[in-house]
Amino acid sequence: MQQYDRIRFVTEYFASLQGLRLLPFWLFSALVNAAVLLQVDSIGIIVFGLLGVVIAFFVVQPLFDRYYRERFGSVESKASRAQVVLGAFLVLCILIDLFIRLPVSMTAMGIAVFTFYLAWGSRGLLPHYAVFGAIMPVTSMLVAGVEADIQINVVMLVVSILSLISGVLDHVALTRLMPSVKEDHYVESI
Amino acid sequence: MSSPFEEMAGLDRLIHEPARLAILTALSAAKKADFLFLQRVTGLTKGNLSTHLTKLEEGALVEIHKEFVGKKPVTWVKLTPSGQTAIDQHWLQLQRLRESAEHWQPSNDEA
Repeated sequence: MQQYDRIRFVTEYFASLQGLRLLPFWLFSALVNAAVLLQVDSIGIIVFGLLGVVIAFFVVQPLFDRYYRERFGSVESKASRAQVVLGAFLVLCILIDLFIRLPVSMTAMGIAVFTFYLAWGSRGLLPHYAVFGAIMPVTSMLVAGVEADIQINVVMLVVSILSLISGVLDHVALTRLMPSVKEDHYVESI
Repeated sequence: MSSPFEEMAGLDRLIHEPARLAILTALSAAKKADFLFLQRVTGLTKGNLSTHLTKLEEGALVEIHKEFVGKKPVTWVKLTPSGQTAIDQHWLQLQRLRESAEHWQPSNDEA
């Protein structure tokens, strides 16, 4: 049964397990948020951030897409109702942070719920998301009461760093869950 | 009344064979998947996967179609509506069997 649970999980979360795809984006996000917090020249940050996003999305991500497609294959996923609901909840949390000033960061709390759901859904295969989920409420409380702009930057810096680590761990999990198959020199007949 | 073990013997062998059950389980969690993904996730060789897919296609449980991405052929596989129903029913049946096997006591005739 565990073997079949693993197969079901990998198929359902195949896109999420391709952790290297968003690494460049999170790397630039971490650098830009760190630069803002350290009050480095703002025009330079904007140019650097934009260049980073362009390179991440149009150069590096297609290369990783191709790597995953050629090494692990392709899946067209079914829409997950739970993920849609959690996504909507996360957007609501971000909107609360933008328009209603609360002492704690709701975005951080929303991300915590999302990552705990991932850890629970993986049935122990992705335990790092439980750690990710535990760090976010702590971050949310640590930035309680500070200026809204700084609060967002701190939360985004923490999210970026944790996403970088999670991306690498997701990729490691994928290679462990989908080992390469020894070939039998058979010509595909379908 | 039949014992869980007699019921187990009556499971549909087209679906219950471990490799085919793995393929169908993977496909039930997605709209469709390509040949390479199925090979990696099930751990089957190309030859074995090809043979099992042919059997599943003959049983009208999966649909197979090929397309070209650039110059490379990609084989896509998806469950048919009857395949989706069959695998869902099969897992329910296995769940029921597991529960009844846990509570099963041999009768005097069988003991």
